[in-house]
Amino acid sequence: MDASMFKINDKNRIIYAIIFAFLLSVPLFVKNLYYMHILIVTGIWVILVISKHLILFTGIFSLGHAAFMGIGAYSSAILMMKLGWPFWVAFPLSGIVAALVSVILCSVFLRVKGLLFAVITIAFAETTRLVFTHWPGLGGAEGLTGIPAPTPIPLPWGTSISFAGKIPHYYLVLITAALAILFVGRIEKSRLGRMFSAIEENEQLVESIGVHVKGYRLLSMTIAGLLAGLAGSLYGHYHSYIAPDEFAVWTSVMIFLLCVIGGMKSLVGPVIGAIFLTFLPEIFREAKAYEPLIFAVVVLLIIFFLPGGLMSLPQRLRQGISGLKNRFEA
Amino acid sequence: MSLLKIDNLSKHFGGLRALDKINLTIEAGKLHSIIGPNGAGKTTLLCAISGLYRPTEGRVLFNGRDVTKQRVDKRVSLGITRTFQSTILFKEKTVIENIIIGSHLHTSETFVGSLLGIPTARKEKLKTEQRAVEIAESMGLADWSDKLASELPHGLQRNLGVCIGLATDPELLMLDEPVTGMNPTEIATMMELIGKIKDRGITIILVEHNMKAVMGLSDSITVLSYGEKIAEGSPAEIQNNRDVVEAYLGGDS
Repeated sequence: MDASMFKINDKNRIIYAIIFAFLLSVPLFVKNLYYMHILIVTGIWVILVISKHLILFTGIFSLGHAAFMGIGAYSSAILMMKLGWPFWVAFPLSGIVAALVSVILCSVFLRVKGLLFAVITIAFAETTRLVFTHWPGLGGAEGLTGIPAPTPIPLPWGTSISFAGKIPHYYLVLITAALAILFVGRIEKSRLGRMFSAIEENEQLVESIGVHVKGYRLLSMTIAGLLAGLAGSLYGHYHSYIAPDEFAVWTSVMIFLLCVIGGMKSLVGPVIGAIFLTFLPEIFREAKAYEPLIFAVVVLLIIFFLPGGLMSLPQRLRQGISGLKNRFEA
Repeated sequence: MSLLKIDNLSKHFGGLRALDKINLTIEAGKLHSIIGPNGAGKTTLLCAISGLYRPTEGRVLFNGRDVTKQRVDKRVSLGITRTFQSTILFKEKTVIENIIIGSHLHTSETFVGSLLGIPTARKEKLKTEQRAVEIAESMGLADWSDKLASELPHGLQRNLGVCIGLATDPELLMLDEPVTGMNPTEIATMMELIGKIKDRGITIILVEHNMKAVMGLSDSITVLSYGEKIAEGSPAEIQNNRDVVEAYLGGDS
């Protein structure tokens, strides 16, 4: 049985490698700037949604995830614009700042559990939004404009990679998202991940076997904060514009919904969820006005008929087909 | 030397005195039962010993060390483990996975190690699995290792609960109603298994309503009623104690 498990693992690895190679080659044949834009935005959502998955994995329900994204976006922009630091320093620092805020807040807030914790995170998200709006130098409700693109990467033969076009942004986001998926995937498969999912399943029992539940949750919130901060930084430097409202509770709700839409059983789900969000408007381009309505209907349909999310669709179809077959044969 | 000493312990919930000035000493290697009518404070006492509740006053000493203010996980690492009244398990995981999670304090497989997939971490994982298999065997679950916990018959789910507790490698194991709701055959099997755990030198606190199990297994018994200790002694002494008979027949029916 063990041997066959390894084979599946290897097969998956090959599939992931092929997908990654394909994504690397996308700029060679996709020349449409708008499509490149969509892919970049999707990549940023992917980072957000998988970091959200990690917290859901430990049984925490928070509605403040976008606030960490905002903290990353603002700190990265400020470090570059006001202090003149290069992007390659500001980018990792933005993640670290968001992670630090996460550690400090959660070490206090995680005393509270369940629904009340969710309420506290809403308060945190609102407070963060107000701080972004009123803190001097952050541009008020209009936000920050003119955020510079990432600093060009000098190449040994004299030229440099400049972030003027979409393609370097695309690669930056692609590589960051791939590393984030690899990192979170590794965590969820490790001993740590085993403990995370055990906590989600039965907190009381995990505590009784000598696990400091709060400590583990704090760790997952910290890692998730780091990733959300990085996503925020990419977001700001790509769009060159950020505003407080973009990081409000609604965005956090959206991140959570994408986890539900994609499916929460494994990391594939959140990725599918993120792709779904950015491609849905494309599919229904003709019916722009109805987009929110269509989104809502799709969410409801998935919750009712595909509780495992879109990732469980192939399995459900197979079940449905074999069910039909049985009916005909009977 | 006494393994566990409970010193003047009280726990009040608002005006309710769930436990009132309890003193209790438990010797190493013995099986000590705590009995009493419903609402007598038995589970509250377990929670105070395991660390789930902070007592209102009094102290809990384990191996001579004051653990009153220590967290649950710290106490487990010192050797105090409890199992649960109902069948609280990781239902979506297999029997072996349940036990492996239980043994998390006793594996040196580090997070970074397993993240990088280094060989020593893999070796450590095999060792943990081996140990889990042994524990499953000792509790009669050898044939069920790869089944999901939710697929086990009710009686065996209790066994698995005890396995998870054993996986923490406890010095003191507290069993909360391990045979309640079982049929006579299952009770007999569980009693035998509890006896074996004791033979391995693990001190046991047993909270149980089934008098056959309590009288058959205990070295000593404490009787609680309305949060107070009303009697203590050997099974024979307790059976002939007038206060105990009154508490059971007069107090609860």
